[in-house]
Amino acid sequence: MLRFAICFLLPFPAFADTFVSDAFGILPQAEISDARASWAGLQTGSASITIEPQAPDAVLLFIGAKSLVAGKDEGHAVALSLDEHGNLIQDAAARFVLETNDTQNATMRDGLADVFFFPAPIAGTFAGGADVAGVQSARALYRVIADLESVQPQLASTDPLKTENFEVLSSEALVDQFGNPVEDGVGTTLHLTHQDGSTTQLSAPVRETRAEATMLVRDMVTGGQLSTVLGRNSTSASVDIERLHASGPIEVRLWQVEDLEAVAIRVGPVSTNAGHLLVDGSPIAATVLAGDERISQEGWLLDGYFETLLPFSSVPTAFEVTVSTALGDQTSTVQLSTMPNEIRGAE
Amino acid sequence: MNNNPAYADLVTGSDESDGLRLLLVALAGVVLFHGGLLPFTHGNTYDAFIHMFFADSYHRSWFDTWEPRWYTGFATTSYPPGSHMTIAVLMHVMPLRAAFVVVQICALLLLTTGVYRFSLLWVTARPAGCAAIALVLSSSISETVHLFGQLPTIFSLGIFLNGLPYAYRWIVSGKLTNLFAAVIYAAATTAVHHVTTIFGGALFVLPLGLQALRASLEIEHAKGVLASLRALRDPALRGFLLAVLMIAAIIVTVFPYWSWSVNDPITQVPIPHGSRESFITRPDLGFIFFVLPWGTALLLLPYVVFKTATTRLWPLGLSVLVCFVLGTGGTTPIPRAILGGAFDILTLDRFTFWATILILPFTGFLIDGLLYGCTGKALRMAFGRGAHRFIIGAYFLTTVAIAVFAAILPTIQPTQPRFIDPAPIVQFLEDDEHDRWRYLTLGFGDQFAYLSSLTTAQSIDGNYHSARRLPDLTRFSVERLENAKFSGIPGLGSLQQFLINADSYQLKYVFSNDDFYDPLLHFSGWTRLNRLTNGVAVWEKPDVTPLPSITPRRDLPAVHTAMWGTLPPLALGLAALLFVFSSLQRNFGRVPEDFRPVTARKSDLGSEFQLRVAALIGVVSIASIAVFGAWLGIQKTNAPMTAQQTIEVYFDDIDFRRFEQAYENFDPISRPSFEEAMFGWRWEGGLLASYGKLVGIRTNLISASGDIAKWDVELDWLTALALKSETVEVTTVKRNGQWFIVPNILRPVQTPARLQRGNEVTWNVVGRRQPRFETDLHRDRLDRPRVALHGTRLITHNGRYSLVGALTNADADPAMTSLFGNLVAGKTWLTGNAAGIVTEQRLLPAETSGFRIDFEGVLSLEDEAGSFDPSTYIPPKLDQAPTGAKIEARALVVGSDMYRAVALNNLRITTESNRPTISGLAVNTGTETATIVRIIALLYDMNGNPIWADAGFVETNIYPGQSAPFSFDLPARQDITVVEPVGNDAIAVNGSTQQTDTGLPGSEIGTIPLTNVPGYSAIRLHVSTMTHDPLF
Repeated sequence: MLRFAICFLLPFPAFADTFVSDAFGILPQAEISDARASWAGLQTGSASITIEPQAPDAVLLFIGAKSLVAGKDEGHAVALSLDEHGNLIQDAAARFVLETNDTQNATMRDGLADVFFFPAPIAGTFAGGADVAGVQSARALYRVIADLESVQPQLASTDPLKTENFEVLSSEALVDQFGNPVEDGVGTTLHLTHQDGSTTQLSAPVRETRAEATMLVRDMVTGGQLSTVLGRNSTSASVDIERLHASGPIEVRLWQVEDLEAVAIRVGPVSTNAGHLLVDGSPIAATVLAGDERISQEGWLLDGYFETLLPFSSVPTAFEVTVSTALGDQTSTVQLSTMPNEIRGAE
Repeated sequence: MNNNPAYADLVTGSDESDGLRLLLVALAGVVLFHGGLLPFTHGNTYDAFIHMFFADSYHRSWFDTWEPRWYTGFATTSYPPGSHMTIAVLMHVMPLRAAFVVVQICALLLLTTGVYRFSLLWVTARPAGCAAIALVLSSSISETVHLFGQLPTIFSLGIFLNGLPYAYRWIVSGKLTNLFAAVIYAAATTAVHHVTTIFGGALFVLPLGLQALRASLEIEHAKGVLASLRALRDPALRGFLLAVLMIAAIIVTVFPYWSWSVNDPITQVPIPHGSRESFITRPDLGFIFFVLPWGTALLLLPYVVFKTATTRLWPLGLSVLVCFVLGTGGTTPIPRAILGGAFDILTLDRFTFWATILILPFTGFLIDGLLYGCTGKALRMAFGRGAHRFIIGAYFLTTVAIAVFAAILPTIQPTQPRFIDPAPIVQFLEDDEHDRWRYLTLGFGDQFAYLSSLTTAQSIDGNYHSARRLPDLTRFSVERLENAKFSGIPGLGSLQQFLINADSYQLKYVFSNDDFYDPLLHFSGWTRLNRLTNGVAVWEKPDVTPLPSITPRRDLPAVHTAMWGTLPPLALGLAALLFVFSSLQRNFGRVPEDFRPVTARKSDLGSEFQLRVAALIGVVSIASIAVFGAWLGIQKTNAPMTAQQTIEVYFDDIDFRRFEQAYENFDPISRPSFEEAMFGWRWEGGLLASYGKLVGIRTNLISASGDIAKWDVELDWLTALALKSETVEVTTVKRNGQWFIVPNILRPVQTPARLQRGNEVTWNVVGRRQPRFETDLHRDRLDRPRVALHGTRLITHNGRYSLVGALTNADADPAMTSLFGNLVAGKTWLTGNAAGIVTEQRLLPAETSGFRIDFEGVLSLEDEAGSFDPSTYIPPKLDQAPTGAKIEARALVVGSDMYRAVALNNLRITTESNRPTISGLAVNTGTETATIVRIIALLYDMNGNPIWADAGFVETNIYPGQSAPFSFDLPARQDITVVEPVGNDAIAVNGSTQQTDTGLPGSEIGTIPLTNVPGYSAIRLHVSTMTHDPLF
C-alpha cells in the first residue's frame, strides 16, 4: 500500500515517442513547427532528408577589425547570405563594395563569403556593402585610425608658469606618419621633473588632435623638464615657473599666552614683489630657538599671516626665529612683546 | 489533600466558566492588539521576509526542494516547511504578505489556547485564563512577533502546548487516542519547527512527566517504596513509549531535514549572536535579549522561586529557572558550561522566550490571587483598597506599556533600512534579460528576502545562513554579504572576493542602498548605471558570462521529495482536525474526569504588620539600589577626562556624527564658531570621513609642556576597500583642570578661478539603445579593444603568490579590462583568481598601468579560531608548488568614469629600511569633485621589468581647484622573489594572442626614475578617480 502510495505520488512520466534532431537539439516529432521543419539539414527517423536552401533573402555583412591602424592593419569583410527561413546559402557569387578599396568578388562557401582588404592609410569612418545574387546587405561601417606608434608628441611652447594659477599645457597637433590626426581621448602623460628633485605628473587626453592638460601650479618652487609621453614615444622641453620675491622683511611677533605656559607667535604680513600678499594656503614653517629649546611649527598662510602656539617650558624674553616660505628663508632675533592690538580687539 | 487537592475538588462550574471567558478575552486581545499591529510591523522585522521567501518557494513548486535563487542554490529541506507551506496554501487566495499576517495571527491564537490548556495542567481554570491574558500582553511575544518576526517559533509552540494535555492524559490514564493525539501534535510541531519539539521535550514535557507521575502515585494512594514503584511502573512505561514515538515522529516527519543535516553538515564558522554576549559589557544587547522579553515577568522571579520551593509547581519552576539562567547568554559562564559546544551554535534568546512562556501558569496564579485570592485580600487589609487597586493597575499598565513598546520599537529605533519599494528592481531584473545573471543587494537588510520572493532572478547571497555551502561564504563568520560592513574586515574581505571574482559566480548586477560600498564597487571594476525610482543605485560589472541555461542542482531521492511534500502538511492537517474537534467539545476539550492535582491556595497570607514590614523592606532596598546607581553614574560623568580620553571622545563623536558634542571638546578660548568648525568637518569628506568607520584609536605623546601636549593620533578606519590607518597631529591644552583639543584649521587655498571651463572628451557606447528589437544582428556589439600585458611575472612577497605586470590599452578606444590569473605546475592547474583593487580597469587609449593579482586560500575553521587578524593571510591550498602562471585579459569598450583631471604635484620618493614611500599632493584641476582618488604604483626592478604593483588612496575628497596630500608605502625589493616570468604563450587576450596598435612602453618611458631606492629602477603611476556623489 505504502509503495503504491509513493509510486502514485512520484511524478515520473515514462512514455515512448518519435524524436527528430537538428543542429539545435532533439525534440518530439509532434513538436516540430512548420518554421523549424523548413530548416536545412533536418533529419527525421532513419531516413536522411536534406532540404535545400531557397533563394537568398538577406545578406549580413561584418567588417573588422573594429579599428584598422592606418598603413598596418588588413581588414576582413565577411558576408552571410540567408534564405527566407534563415538557412545559409550554400554557394553563390558575392560582391563586396568598400569605400576605401575597389570592388572585390568572392564565392559563398557554406553560406559565407569573405575578402581581405588593405585600406588606404587615411583615418576616418567608412562604409561597405555586400551583394549576393542581387540582394544587398545593410551598410556596414569600418574605421581606419591613426598609427599611434608613429606619433611623436611635441610640447607647444609655453610661458613661465604662474604660482597658484591654472596653466594649460598642450602639445602640438599629434599626427602619425601619414598625417592622420590622433583621435580624441587618446591618453598621453606629462611629467615635469623639477630642479628640486620633485616630480609633477598630469594626464593629458587628446582633444582636437592636441594633448592637453590643466596644471594648478601649487607647492612648486622651481621649473624643470617637461616630457610628453604617448605610448612609448616621448619628447621633453624646458618649463619655468615664475618666482615671487618678498617685498621686505617679514614681521615676526611673540607674546605670552594667558593661563598657559606657552608663547604665541604671529608671522606676517608676508608681502611679495607682485604687490599682493603671498597667497592663502602657501606653506610656511617657523623654527623658534630660545636658549636650548627649539620648537618648529608648520602651517599655512591665511590673509598673509601665520599664527600658532609654542609650548616653551619657561618663557624667555629673546628668540631666534627662522621663517621659511616660498619666497625664501628669513632669520631674525625677536623680543617678547605684547599681543597685537587687532587680535586683542577681536577677543 | 488540603495541599494537593484534586482538580475536581477545587474547581467549581463558576471557575471553569471564568477561565473560558478569560480565554475568550485573551483571544480577542490577540486579534485586536497583535492583529492590529501586524500589518504595519511585520515589514520591519528580522525574519518575516525569510519565511515569506520560503513560502514563495513552495508556492512556486510544492515538491521542488531545490531553491536556486540564493547561494547559487540550496535545499529547502534545510528548514521544516510547516509554516511556509501554510502560507503557500493561502497564497492561492491572497498576496504573500497578507498570507503571512494571517498565518501569524492564527499562530498567536493557537498559542493562546495552548497556554490556557498547558496552564490547566498546573493551575485551575481562572488562573489559566489569566495566564492566557498575560501571554497576550507579554513583551516577549510582542518582541518575537513584531521585532523578530519569528513565525515558526510561535506557530510550533502553539501546536506543541495544545498537544501537551494529551501527553499528560496518556501517562496518567492511558487510552490510545491520547497517545495518537500526542504523537500527531509532536509531528505537527516538528513540521513547523524541530527545535521547539526537541527543547520542548526537555523543558515542557519533562516537568509535565514528573507532574503526571506524581498524579499517578496520588491516584493509587501508594504507601511505601515498593507500592510506589508498582504504581509508577505503568505510567513510566507509557511515558517511555510516548517518548519513543515522539522521537520517531520528530525523525520521520522531517526526515529529509535530518538527512540533509547528516549528509551535508554545517561547516561554517559560528556566527556571532548578541544573545551570547555578556549583557553587562553590552547592556544594549542585554536590553534586547533579556530585559525587554522578560518585561514585568522579571519581577515575578522571586515569586517563582518561592512557589517552586513550597508547592507542587516545582518541576515547572525549575524549568523556568533553567531557562532563565541559559537566557543570560555570556553574562555568566554557566550557560556555556551547561550547553558545551552548542553554546556557539544556539541563539540563547530562545531560552528567555521559553522561560516567559513557562512562567505563565505562575503569572496566572499570582494575578488570580491578586484579584480574587488571599494575596489581594491581604493587600487590601494591609494597605487599603486604593493601594490594592493601584498595585494591580500599575502592574497591568506597565505590562501593557512594555508590550506596546516592544511592538513599536522598530519604529522608534529602526533596525532595518527604510522601506525599499522592490517593484523597480523586479522590473529591472525582468527587463532586457537581466535575470540571465546573478545579482547582489547591499544595504537592504532583511528586505532582500522579500525582493527575492518577487523575482525568479538568482542572487549569490541569501538570508538563511545555515543553508550556505559555498566555502567562500562559510569561511568567514559573516551572516550575509548584504550587510558585510557590520562584520568588519572578515565581512568586507568576503564581499570583496565576490565582487572581484564576479565572473566566476555570473554576478553582474549589484543593487546598492548603502553608499559605503561605492569605493569598493568602483575600484573593483563595477560601473554605476543609474538610480532607480526607489533610490537604489544599480551597479553593473561588464563582461560577465551569463548563467548557463542549465545550472547545477542537487536532487533529493524521490522518496525524500515525496515525504517532504506530504508528511509535514499531513501532520499539520491531522493536528488541525484534532484541534477543531477538541475545541468544539464541551468545556473547550477539557476532560472533566481527568485527575489533575493543582496548586492549592492558602487561606491567608500572614499578618498586616508582616506584610507592611515586607513591603517597606522591599521599597527601601529598591530605593537604595537606585540611589547608589545614580551616585555612581554622577561620579563617573563628572570626573575630569585625561587628555587621551578627550581625544578618544572627540574622534568617537566625529565618527558618530555627534558634532555638537565634538565641538564641546575644542579649546573654548581658541575654537572657532560651531558653524566654522562644522564647515571644516564637512569640507574634507572622502574615503575616511564619508565612507569610513572608526574602529581603532591610539595616541602617542610627542611632546608635553605644562598645559600643552602634542599627540600623534593613529586612527584605524574601516572602509569598504580596506582597513586604513591615518595619523593626525593633535594639540591639547589644559584649562581649569580640564583638557581640550586645539582645533586644526583647513589649508586655506583658494581655487584660482571664479568660473572654470572644461573641455572633456565623452563617449557614447550605443549598445542596444536603438529602435530595433532584434538582439542577434550584432549591430549592438563592438569588437573588444586590444589590450596588452607586458613584463608579467609570478612573484612571491611575504609568502604570497602574486602576478605582477603592466597593462596597456593598445587600442584607439577606451577599454574596461578584466584580468584572470591562474597558477600552474607544469600542465596542472592549481588555482585562479581575478584582479582586484590593484588594477586599473578603465584605461584610455595608449595608457599603461601596473596590475597585481593576488592568490589567497580559503580560511579553514581552525584558522578562524580566535579573534580575526586583518593581516592574516591564508595561502592557497596547492597540491604542489606553482612553477608558472597563465593569465587571461579581456576588454570591452567603455565610455564612462574616465575622469583624468587629478594631477600629482610635488611627488617625492623617500626610503626607509629600503622601503620606498611615495608622497605628494593630489590636485584636482578639472570641474568635477574627485570623491576618491586611486594611485596605482608599478615598480620596476634594476633590469627594467615590473616587480611590484600597489594601490594607494587619497584620504579626503578634492573639490575642483583644491588639493589633498597623500602618502603610501611600498615594499622593499629584497622582500620580493621572482618565481617565473609569464611568457606570451601563457597570455591570452580577448581569447587570442595579443595584438597592439601602439608600442608598449618600458621602464624608461612615462616613469619616474628611482635613483636612491635599492633594487628598483623606476616607478610608474596611474591615477583614476571616483567622481559621483561625494558624501559626508
